[in-house]
Amino acid sequence: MPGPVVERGDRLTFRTVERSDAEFLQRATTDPRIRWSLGLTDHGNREACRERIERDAESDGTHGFVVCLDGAAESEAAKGPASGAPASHESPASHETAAGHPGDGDATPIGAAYARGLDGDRAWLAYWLLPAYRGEGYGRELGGLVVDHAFNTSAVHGVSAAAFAFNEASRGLLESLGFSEDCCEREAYYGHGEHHDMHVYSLLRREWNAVRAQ
Amino acid sequence: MPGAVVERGERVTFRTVERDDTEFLQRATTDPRIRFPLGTFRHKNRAQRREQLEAHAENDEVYAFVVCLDGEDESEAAADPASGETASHDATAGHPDEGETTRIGAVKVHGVDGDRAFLSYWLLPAYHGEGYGGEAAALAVDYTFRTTSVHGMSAGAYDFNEASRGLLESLGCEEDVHVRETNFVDGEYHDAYTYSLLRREWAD
Repeated sequence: MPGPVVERGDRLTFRTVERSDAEFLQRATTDPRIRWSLGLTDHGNREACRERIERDAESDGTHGFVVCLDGAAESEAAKGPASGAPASHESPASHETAAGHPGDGDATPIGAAYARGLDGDRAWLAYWLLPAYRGEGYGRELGGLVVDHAFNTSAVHGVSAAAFAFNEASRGLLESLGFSEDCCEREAYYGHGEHHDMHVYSLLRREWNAVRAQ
Repeated sequence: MPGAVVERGERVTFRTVERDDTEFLQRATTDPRIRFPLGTFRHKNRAQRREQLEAHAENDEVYAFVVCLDGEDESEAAADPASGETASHDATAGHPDEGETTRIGAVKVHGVDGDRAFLSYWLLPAYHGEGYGGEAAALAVDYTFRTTSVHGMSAGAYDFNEASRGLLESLGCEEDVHVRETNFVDGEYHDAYTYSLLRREWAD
């Protein structure tokens, strides 16, 4: 079960990566529709994914999130008092409970987002969505939220992200967010039976500010 | 569920921080309305928050409390000795059942084994603006001066946190230090203020 909400978009929430999310996150290392675009050539078992959470999502420079759709159950809990908050003080607590820790089934994990290197000058972004949730604009919202988060919570000068040549959805997404392509590393990655070019994009803080001002 | 009552104010109680409180306390590291004023720039997952709990709440140098509102059942039992035996009061003052008490925030005092203690506190946003913060902070100051020999207490607040700065001033704290643009919080650099209160000032 994902943890409490850290960032909230129109439709998506970013929740903390809990160790119990290992099973969900494992999908990114096993499903070929996700792992190849992330460059994850090794699949990992659940234990390996749990270790990765401790190494990656819990490390200082990394902000990791489980990307969720919050269910109707939660929205209603947020409105009404009967959400499982302690009965002794009903009114405001129930909303806070819903805004904080969801019950099982309140939030549906649909992907993950990471910003790494937030303790330095330049952060690196990575993200994925379950294939069933692609093509509905969630990626765009996710990308905007993670860029916002990086620039709001750290003093980084810019953010970078990479996409392989075949990943047109991700390349289009980065361009639509205002990223510029900085370089192309030719045949940098072997996966899926052949070598692929890797395109590196970046977005500077002042460029993001200009995009947001529009 | 929070632990036993350590200190009781007019409306709030200070209860021990139990490991079960991890999930509640995690809120202070995720909700932007709490974590930005606290200067918690990085959110924590439950495992990390629990490690922090063990490092702080179970440390001799630190007083840590979960700030609670005790439910009506409890207040009545406590207020009306005729309605119940002393046992009911003792029971509620001890370990509450779920529903008897509502967690609304937390208070920490670092450095209680030294010469100068450092106070920090937060409340869930739903409980802001009702004077609970002032009551909790005063209770923590009182408790610390009464149970330790610290000479003074300090606390910090960012420039944007007018509620907390007002609270510290209303407790009689003096502004000692103003550090300009010291931390990057919520999109920009912010100034930090440090306040302090000496034992003799509190006695007055």
